[in-house]
Amino acid sequence: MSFLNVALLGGLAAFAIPLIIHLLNRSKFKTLDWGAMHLLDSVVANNSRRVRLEQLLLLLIRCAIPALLAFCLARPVLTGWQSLPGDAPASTVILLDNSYSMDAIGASGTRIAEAVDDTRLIVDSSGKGSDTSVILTGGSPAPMFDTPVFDSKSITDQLPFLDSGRGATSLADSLELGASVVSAMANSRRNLILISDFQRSDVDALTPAAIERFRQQIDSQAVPPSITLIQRSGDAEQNIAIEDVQLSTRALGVGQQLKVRVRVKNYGVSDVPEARLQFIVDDRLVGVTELAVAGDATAQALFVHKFDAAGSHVLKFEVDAGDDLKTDNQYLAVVDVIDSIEVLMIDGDPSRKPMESETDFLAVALTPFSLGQMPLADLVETRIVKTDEVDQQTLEWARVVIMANVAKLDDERTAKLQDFVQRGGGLIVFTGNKVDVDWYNRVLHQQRGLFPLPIQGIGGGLDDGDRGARIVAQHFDHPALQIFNSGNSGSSELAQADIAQWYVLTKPASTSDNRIQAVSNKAKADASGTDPQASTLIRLDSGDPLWVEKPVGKGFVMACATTADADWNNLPLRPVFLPLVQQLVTSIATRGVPASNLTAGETLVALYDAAAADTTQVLSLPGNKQRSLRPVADQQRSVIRFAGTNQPGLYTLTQPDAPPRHFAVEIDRGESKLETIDAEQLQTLADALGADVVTDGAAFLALDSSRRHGREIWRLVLFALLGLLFVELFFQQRFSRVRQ
Amino acid sequence: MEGFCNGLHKSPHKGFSVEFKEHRQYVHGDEIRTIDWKLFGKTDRLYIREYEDETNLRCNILLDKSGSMGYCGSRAGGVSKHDYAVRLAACLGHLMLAQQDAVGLIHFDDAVRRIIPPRSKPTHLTAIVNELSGLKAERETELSSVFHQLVPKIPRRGLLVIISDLFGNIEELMKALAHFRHAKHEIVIFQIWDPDELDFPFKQWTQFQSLEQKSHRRLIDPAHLGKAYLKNLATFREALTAGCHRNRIDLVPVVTDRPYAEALASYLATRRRLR
Repeated sequence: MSFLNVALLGGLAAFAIPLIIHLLNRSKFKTLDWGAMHLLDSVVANNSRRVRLEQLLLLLIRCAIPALLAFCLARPVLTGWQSLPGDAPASTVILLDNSYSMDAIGASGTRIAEAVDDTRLIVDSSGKGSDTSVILTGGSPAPMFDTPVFDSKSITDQLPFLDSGRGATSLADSLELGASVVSAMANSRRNLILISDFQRSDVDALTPAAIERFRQQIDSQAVPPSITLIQRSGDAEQNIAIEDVQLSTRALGVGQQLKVRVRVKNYGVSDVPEARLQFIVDDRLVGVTELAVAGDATAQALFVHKFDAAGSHVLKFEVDAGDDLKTDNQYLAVVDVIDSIEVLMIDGDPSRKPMESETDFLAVALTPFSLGQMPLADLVETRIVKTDEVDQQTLEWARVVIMANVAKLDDERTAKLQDFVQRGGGLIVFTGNKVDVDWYNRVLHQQRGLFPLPIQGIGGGLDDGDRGARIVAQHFDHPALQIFNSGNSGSSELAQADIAQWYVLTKPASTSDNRIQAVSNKAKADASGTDPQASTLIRLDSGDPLWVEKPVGKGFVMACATTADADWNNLPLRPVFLPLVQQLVTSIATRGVPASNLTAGETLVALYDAAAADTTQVLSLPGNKQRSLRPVADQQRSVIRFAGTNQPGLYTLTQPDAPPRHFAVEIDRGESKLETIDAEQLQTLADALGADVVTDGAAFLALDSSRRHGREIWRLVLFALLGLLFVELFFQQRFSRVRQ
Repeated sequence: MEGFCNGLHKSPHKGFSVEFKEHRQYVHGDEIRTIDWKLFGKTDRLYIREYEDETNLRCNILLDKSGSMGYCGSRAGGVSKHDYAVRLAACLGHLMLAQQDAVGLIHFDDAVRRIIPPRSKPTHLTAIVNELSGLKAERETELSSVFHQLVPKIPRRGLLVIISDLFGNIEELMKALAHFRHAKHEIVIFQIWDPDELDFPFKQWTQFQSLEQKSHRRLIDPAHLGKAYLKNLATFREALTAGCHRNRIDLVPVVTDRPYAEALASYLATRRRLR
């Protein structure tokens, strides 16, 4: 015998309560001087034995009542009691693998269709009072219904609409969730069934530690479930998949060229001589190529495309090679094409002579095509103003503001600039000989927080004898600088520039994810007067920071310790200056824009104006489903967050008076290799899990009928308890009728 | 024959009264004051004047002062059975003497403790009341043996008023009472009850301790034994009533929550109707 609520067995101690009351009553008697003892003596002599028996009987009944109640609440299960199949109700958890590898087509249909048939058979055969929970294990495991359902029809009705094609199954997470769900279910006869193709990659990911954890989880349950594995592996072998799509990370403008690199992998052993790869943009076929992919090899294709209009564009790649699994033959990506990036440049050292103004090099670097009168389009639109021309109107127009060698700004303009950055704008500060160092340190850094690090002094010098510095060739972590990590414009290119003179900025405390380290950094930063949020992008070999960045409100501030023109350095004269400035400007303009390409399970985030708060937005999901969502106000803007992106595909936010926003959700291609474990390995896994292996649903039913299950007897105990209550009442009335 | 009320008919006995009956010759031992000196002057012989004795009642009140009479329940207004019995005895004594009947008092527990012979003098009440006021309920009861002892000590037949709870062996008691009846005594028994003894109202566990023998205790749950007690009580009372009826003894149960005057008046009225 075992108990479902073992802790409640402690209630058995309640039997002592009537006993204590009885003993207390006996000990709390009063003494009475009595005359008619001769009348009592004979009564006692004749009745004491009977009375003692009656009292003992009543006491036993009263002690048994709370003890039986506790016993009943502990839900005893007679484990040696065999019940007929379908006779006793059962609690069943079915872990149904709906990862995309289950879509593989074999001789007898897809794996998922077979698994669904097994599920339907098992659910239909469950007896009256049985509860069932179906957990879909693809991607992150999730129950089909929030709670186990007693109505089997509601599950079988839902099975035809099952979402398949999900991400890889994590057997460890699925088994853990299944064990957790089954432990809280209603009946003492419990089953945990895992129906999967048991791909080798999934099984390999199930570590012995995870198996041990699962076994402990099962063993700790009052009534451990019977575990059964059903393998639906089919005979599919050939599979070709789009493994990855790489987009250029730079922000893309109208008319600018997008390069897409597509990797196609053949997971089968036989060669595929002609795989047709299509490139579709916004449902329009724009490119086709034929690839020859050898067995267990990868082929790449490069597509180029220009967009005519700004907005969210859907790129779809399809490969067709007649393989057994079609789900991974597609790949979706979304590109957000921006109209232009408005850059306001405040020139602190204007000049009428060519290339002597402080912003001339920047203007060339940001709008090379326009200035060169070339047919290609520039992403950036610039406007150059003097210090006293900065006003509300120009700031509202701009997305990025560049201060180039600006001596100082008055308080009003500084406040407006601060508000601009707080609202999400980008600010890039180039220093130079005009800079009022005291104002930069006191006002711009300390009061307004718009200059990341205080200026300590001047490094290097412009005389011939002075020692300059160079940029340290390193691996850059910042997304804007990642293009310099490899390729033609590598970091060595940057390192060739001579930096003759620069402002020595206080070194920032290095940032760290480690909380203890971060706290320590903050303490250091407080002591040195630096901002703990400031980080160095580019460093000089003298050890001084050259480019630093800091978030301010919703926006970002970047500062360069040297000039934007060639006065203090020759970087603007070098070819690397153009991509560097372009990258930094587009990066600061588009930072904080949520990603449009997500992996399954990642939260979808869309930003709106503050005015859009509480308006209704419609999100179209894969499979023609729709959700109504409301942006939530978040300071100066409103945000939609949607976490239910488990299903791969295209998610589109449509608005009545604005173009739609697309989000592509893709899955990891871990399951594209269709190799499954063989029967022997499956048996080994089953032994490790303490499970039985069957071939299909019918075999499970046969196995289930032969298993010995326990039967809950709390109802019988409850009836006994009620009976005892009546007996106690009857005896109590009968024995103490003299009270009336 | 004697009556409860004062002399309504002549008595066959000689006694002290105003009506002369006869002379008889002086014998040694007669009181000198009874010698008729006038006749001695005439006859030179000593004669005694004898007067006709008036009919009156010789009543002995037998008061049980054993320990069991000391019980005082909560509903008796602080009057124990013993108190009640003493007051009843005093009351009876007063009534008797007011009718010029002779009243005596005998009190006992496990033995006869004091005998005050019957007198009809009004001042005799003082002696009785003084004796009563000094009594305390104590010791055990031994009714039958005490009664057997008393029979020879009450030579002249008369009225015996027994005031007791009669707790004891009924058969032995009836034999003793029959002994009295054999000596031609008329017997009236006032059986004193406390209300608690009649309905046994106790609920919780109680240790009953004997008033007559302190070491005698019974710890019982009245809720379970009350019924049996009441049954036992009924049997006891039925046996007592039957025994008294058989011996033509008036058994008057008196409960201490009832005023004793009322109880007495009620009995006297009943008795008058019977006559």
